Amino acid sequence: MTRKKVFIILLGLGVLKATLFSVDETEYALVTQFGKPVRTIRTPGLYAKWPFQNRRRFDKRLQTYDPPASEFLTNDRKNLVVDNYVCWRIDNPAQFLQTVYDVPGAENRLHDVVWAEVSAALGQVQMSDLVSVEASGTHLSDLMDQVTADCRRIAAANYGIQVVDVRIKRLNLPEQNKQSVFKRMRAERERMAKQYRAEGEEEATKIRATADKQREKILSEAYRQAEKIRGQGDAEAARIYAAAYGRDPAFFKLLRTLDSYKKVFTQDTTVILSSDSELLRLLTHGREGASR
Amino acid sequence: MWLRRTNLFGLGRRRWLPALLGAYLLTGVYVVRPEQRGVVRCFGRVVHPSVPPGLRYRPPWPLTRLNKVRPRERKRLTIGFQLADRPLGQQPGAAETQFITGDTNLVNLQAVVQYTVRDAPAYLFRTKEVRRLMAAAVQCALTEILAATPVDELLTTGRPAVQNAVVRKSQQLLETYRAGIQVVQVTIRKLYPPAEVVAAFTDVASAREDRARLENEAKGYASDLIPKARGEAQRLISEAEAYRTRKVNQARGEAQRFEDLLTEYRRAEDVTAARLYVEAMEQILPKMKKVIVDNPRGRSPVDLSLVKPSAAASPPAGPPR
Repeated sequence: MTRKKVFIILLGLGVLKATLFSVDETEYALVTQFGKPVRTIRTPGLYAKWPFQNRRRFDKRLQTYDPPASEFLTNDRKNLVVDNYVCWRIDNPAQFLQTVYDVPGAENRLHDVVWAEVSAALGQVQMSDLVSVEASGTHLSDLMDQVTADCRRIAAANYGIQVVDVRIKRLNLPEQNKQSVFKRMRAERERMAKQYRAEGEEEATKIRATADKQREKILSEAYRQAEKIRGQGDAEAARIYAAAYGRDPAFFKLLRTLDSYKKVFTQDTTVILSSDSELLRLLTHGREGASR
Repeated sequence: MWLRRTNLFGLGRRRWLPALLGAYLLTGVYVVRPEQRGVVRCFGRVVHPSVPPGLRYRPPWPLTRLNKVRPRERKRLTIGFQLADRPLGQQPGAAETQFITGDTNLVNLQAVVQYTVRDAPAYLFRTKEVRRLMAAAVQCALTEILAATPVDELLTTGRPAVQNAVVRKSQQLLETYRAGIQVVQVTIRKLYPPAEVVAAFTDVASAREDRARLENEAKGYASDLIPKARGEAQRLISEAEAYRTRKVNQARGEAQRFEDLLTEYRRAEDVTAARLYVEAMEQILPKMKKVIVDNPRGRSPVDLSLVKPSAAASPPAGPPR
């Protein structure tokens, strides 16, 4: 009795397992009947199928495909190494299964599609449009918008894939071109360094020259004024002297001459005196000479 | 054996089965900590996108599945280097760190991205490899922005602007992907020219410094020179003024002396004149060599051989009287 019950329970569970299935938030379910797809389930939840039907899961999530970097040629024959990434998801599981079968298969096809589109797009722009400090010109983002649109169209039509985004992750130059770029960078930097130093010299010279000029001006002004003041002094003194001495020129001459004798005659001087002189008359003629 | 099992079944229908069932149901109890939020899926479908903190219950596995996220936790992503230990001395290669700048120069960069989970179900279920996608989006933003920026700006003042632009651009991309992530901050940790040209770049910085230094030296020279010149100028003028004062005072003094003497002279002319003359002679004659020549009538030639410069005393006079 109990054995039968156990058997029935197990059988019931088996039937449940073959009939009921859940579809997760992250996946699609494709119900196939003898290999042919009959139902695509996109909304998560609990579902039922016939036991003879099969259920395949497909990832609903956004996939990131990162192909290796490739070299491309721009319109002005410049080589660029471009590293893309592709955001895609399965949109039509049935078509996906029939065309590419699985994710590696999808990546294979995507690689070719993206490579072709990127190559075509880059071949139509100049390098100076993509890499430029000016605001105008084709920007990378606009270019990749176009590539994304083209890839989306092709993938949706052929593989049941929705290409969400194709973007450039990294842009670089090929190794063999880098040396010439480095050379140019070095030369550019050297030129800049030279210019900075020359500017410094120029400015310094200017500042020094201006300072020297100003100093000259200050000093010459002061010298001029000093001479003027000295002149004033001399003139004033002369005026005072003239005013005073002018009151008795004869007396002045007497005084002044006597003063000058004190300075002019030194011990080296020899003076020849006449015995007739006023000073010596007393000596040579006696007292009666003095009265004369 | 089978008999024992059926016996057990027979016995346990009252005791073991409900106990087992109860234990199973208890596994549906879970705790959401204060910094966490729970996400519950029932048969694969999200039934609760954000379970608040506390003691919660859900129908146990496999009916429901539980995920927990920390919404405010800042997660980190690195560009151009690894956070984990690298072998010593191994610098990240060009493929990881090199970017093209707007003026077709090459520059190496390392950055750290901080992000939070903004929409837990989206973060958990919409994208297959979220961190990989994030890294790609941030690098795309960096590539596009650096391809429009000149290298000098990057190396000097442009870092904050670039960082903000990268946050904006990568957030924009992630919105398109509906990844449920909020980019909080992008920090450029290191920005340096490639090894082949780094010396030249460093020299430019030195040259800039040299320029400033030369200008400052000249300014120092000027700021030293001008005040000194002014001081010198002042000195010249002061000296001149002193000269003027001295001259004028000297003149005044001498004029006054003359006037005073003149007054006395006017009072007694002959006497004063004689006195002045004799006093002067007393002063000057002693120093000099004197030769007294006796000449009562007219002049006779003086024998200058008498005049001997070296002799101190006066030689004897001419023909004696």
